[in-house]
Amino acid sequence: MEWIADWLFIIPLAPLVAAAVNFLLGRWWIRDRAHWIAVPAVGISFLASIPAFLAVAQHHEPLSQHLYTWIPAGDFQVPVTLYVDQLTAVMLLVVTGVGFLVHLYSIGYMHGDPGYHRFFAYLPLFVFSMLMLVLASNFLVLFVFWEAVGLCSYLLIGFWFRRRSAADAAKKAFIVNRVGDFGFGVGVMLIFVTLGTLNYAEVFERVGTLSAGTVTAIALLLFTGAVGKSAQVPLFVWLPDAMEGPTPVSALIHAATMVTAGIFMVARAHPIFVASPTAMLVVAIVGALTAFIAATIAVTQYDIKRVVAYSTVSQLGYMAIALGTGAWIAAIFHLFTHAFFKALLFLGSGSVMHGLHDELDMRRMGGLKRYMPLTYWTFLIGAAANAGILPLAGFWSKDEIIVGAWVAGYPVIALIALAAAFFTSLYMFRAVFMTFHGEERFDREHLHPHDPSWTMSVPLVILAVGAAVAGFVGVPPEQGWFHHLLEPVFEGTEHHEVSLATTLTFGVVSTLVALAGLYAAAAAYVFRSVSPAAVAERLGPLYRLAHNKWYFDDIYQRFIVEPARASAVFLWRQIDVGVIDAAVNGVASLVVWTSQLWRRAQTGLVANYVLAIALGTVIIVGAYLVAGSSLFR
Amino acid sequence: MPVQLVAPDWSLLVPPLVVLGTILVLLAADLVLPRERQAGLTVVALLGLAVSLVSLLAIDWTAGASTFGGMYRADSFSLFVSLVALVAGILSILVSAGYVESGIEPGGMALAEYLSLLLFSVLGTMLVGAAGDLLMIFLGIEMSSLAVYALTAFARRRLTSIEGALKYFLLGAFATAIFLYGIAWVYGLTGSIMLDDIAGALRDIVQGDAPVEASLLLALLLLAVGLGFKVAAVPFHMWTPDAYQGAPTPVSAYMSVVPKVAGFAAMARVLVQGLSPLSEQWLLLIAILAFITMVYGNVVAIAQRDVKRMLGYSSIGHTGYMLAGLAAFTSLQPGDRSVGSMLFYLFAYAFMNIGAFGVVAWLQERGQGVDLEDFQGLAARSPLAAIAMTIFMLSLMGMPPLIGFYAKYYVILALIEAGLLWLAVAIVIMSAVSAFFYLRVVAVMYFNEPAGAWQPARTPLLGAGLAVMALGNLALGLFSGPVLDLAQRWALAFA
Repeated sequence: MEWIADWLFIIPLAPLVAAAVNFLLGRWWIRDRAHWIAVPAVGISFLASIPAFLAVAQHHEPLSQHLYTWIPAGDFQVPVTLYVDQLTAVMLLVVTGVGFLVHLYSIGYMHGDPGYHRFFAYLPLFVFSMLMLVLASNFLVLFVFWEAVGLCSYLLIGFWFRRRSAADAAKKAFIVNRVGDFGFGVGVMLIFVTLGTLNYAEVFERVGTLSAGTVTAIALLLFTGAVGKSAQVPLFVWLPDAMEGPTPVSALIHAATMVTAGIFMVARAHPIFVASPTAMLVVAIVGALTAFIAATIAVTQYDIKRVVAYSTVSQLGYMAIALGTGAWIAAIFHLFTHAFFKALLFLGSGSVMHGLHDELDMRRMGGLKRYMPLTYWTFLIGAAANAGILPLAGFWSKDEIIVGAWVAGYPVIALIALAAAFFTSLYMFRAVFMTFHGEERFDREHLHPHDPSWTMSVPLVILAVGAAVAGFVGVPPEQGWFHHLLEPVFEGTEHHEVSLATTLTFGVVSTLVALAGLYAAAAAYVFRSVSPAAVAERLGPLYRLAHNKWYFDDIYQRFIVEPARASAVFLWRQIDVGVIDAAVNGVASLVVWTSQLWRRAQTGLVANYVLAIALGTVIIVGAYLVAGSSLFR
Repeated sequence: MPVQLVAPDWSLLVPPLVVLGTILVLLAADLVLPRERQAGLTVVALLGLAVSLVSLLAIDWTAGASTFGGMYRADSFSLFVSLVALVAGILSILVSAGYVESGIEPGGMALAEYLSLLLFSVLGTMLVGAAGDLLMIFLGIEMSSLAVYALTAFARRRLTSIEGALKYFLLGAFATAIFLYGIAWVYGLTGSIMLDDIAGALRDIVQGDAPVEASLLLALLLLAVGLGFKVAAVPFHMWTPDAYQGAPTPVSAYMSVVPKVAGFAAMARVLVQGLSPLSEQWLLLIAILAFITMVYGNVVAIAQRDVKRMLGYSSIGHTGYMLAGLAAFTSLQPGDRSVGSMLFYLFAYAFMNIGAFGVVAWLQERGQGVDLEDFQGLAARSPLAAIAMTIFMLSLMGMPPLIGFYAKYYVILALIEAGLLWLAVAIVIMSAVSAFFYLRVVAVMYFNEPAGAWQPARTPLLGAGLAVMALGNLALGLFSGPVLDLAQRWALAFA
């Protein structure tokens, strides 16, 4: 399989070509046939990723292909080199695999949309950027494509830009991410200033030479980027709003791939984080807060996509817990299984929306099980996997994270994660019951829900199979095939031995917690032995806190957006118009005046021109003779 | 001295010989074919240049071989100069295609003569790049210039064309005389016209910190002034706006690039290869010329309404940037970026400036004039042409990630390494000033309503040329590394 090293470029190139073709020709010529370009291209990427994966899985040697040197400036060399180690190989499969299924699904979902070709230009462009992000071999290329996936995300959230809410959500995602990216950018600069290089291998080699404070600063700045991109507290507010984009976009970008870029980046830069215990602790705490806060919010939402979105935020929090507690492989394992069940849940919600003419509110659904059996069963598998029900994928990876936090000496974080697991199970089954069980609350006169066509069903089935069995690559816990695969990447990091007793105990406890969540949801929405309204009433302020998303948006509005707007208005009226514009206009008119003056020198007469040359020569020669020669000394 | 007759190594001369052969084919065809059946000759000329371009690959440029007793050198410097000249030639012909046969110029233009003159000029430029002695440089420059004088006057029924050509020719003859006078002085002082021998002799003459002979300074300055004219450095630039404005537009496109390549190639050969022992004397002069040139060109360009004239002044500004690259020269060691950054700039400049003139020609073929007003509402009439022009303008301005940005970036880098921080700062400020007149074109295209009559026309070759250049500005910007590598090998040629 070594031959693939010379063909790695195919992996990002295929979607790039597809994006370019659909951009250039889509509007005039390709139009409704755009998927004929995009779907096979991503398929090619996937097929090319397989041998790359097998090569690194078998030989444990990273592959790399040097494409060209982007910036050759003395000691500052930025090579564009595709680099595939085990970590990248896993990401490649996730991105191209889920990417392919989502492309396939979009054929049916986006059918008839006036922007069809535009959609199939943006989506492969995203796949290209994401692939380059994971294939990068230095921080600058990583940063460039980090921004590029952000751009694609912006374009796709605002895909229906004529809708005000979509345009606003796109802007919000962009601006909130800017906060994180600023920190990330400063972090990258700090690496360059202190270490003089941006190439991964050299940076990681030299981390030991830095002072503790510098390493912590770099690690925290990099993590700021991850907080934005991977929607951690306090910057997670953009992700739920991002659901304004088409549902396949939510599945691919805002669940399976782009939002995990932050997790990937921290795992990639683990030598930097390992060198700073402080930064690790911050990562773990932020992760725990995110997992818990987002899970409680999800319980109180009625918009099916938002439930799944908060669930994504919460699961990203779990991954951050794993990173912060040094359970690197568990983080990537959860990233891997999460890609299956979360993409499945989004595509399933999309299928429901498709059947109900874009209805999102679960209060106007119910009883859909009869009409959409395939959607129901696949969604159920996804929900159970997300809730961590044995033996589905989510159980193995989530349990490992909780155990990892416990054995690493963070019992509080492990307990918070367990508490969040209860809410996870609760909101997941609440969504299942409200949507598919109970009375039919939709308008039966006009709506006739049904399972979607094959292009949409096939991805659902494949992802459901994945959500069911993907966890077995990591069985037995800590010793699975997946762990052996990734071990070389995280070689040299501290590893905590886990006793069989601990593993079993936590397995039992987290199963009980998940079943408790399931029981609570069933009691409220199936048996109706408990009234959700009464519970909400009883909890009072706590319920309102969760329902209002812990007031994050309101706080930002009150303390950041409004003061910023007020100061912007002040700067615009007073400083900009009064001082800067006046100065700029003044300089401009001065230059124009000079220009008009000098222009007169161009008389159009040859004699004058010759005079200019002659005078110029005489002045130059004269100056040199006076200043520089022996003649006058 | 006994003269040894050695058979010249013709294999080294294949690229220029291919161009020469193409010229002969064109001239012969002109005798045989009637005027109305000559349209295919454009393709012949393009093919000739393309074959010559490919034949560059066949020669081992790293060996630094020479023939004709050292007069003709096949080294890494001549490779790059040939590359730029040929690429610029191809792009110029794509821009001229259609224009020459169309009725834009009163009385029409003779295609075969036009093409063969253009190829003569390319050939002359290639010879300057490959020159090993002052005589070859002189001959190459004159071959390149004389052809361009004639091309400038090619719209022979239009007075401005003749006026521009006449001014160009008269002043050119004056500058040539100064240059020749300089050659005579150098020969008198060093006893040789071979560049390497001159450098050797000067190394013996110039020793330590002792003041340099006045006669040597005079020789140096005369050469510098003569070449300053060829590259249109202020105050020897006066011919430029008149000639650019008067010449048929494709000729303006061509003459803004290739004769400049010849001039800068000659400057590098003469000053860096031949007169490097005097570098302390000429570096300051070049730096000051660079400064005045970039300031003057960019500031005066603001006042222009005629886009061709604006591009003329802007090209003076770019001459300033290229001179700045030369002024960053420190030593003939391989790490020195000065000449390489200048060569890269010339390469980049071909893609930006020929493109910009190309869009002007494109408009002219659609019944428009060459004033700023004629660009009004172009975005509404032809979005693609407007995008292409926007790319050219932004690239000329130096906007990343276009090639124009990287060209300036490498010059600035060379300047900083050479310690000429003030000149680097001047480039940045002048780029900001240039935004004024470049962006004005963009604004007019996008924010104004179309006005005046519009005659649709089919110009496939010109369209293809513009597409190649627009994409080239983008792609070569992103992939500037390999081209820069090639340009930076210049030092191997002069060592």
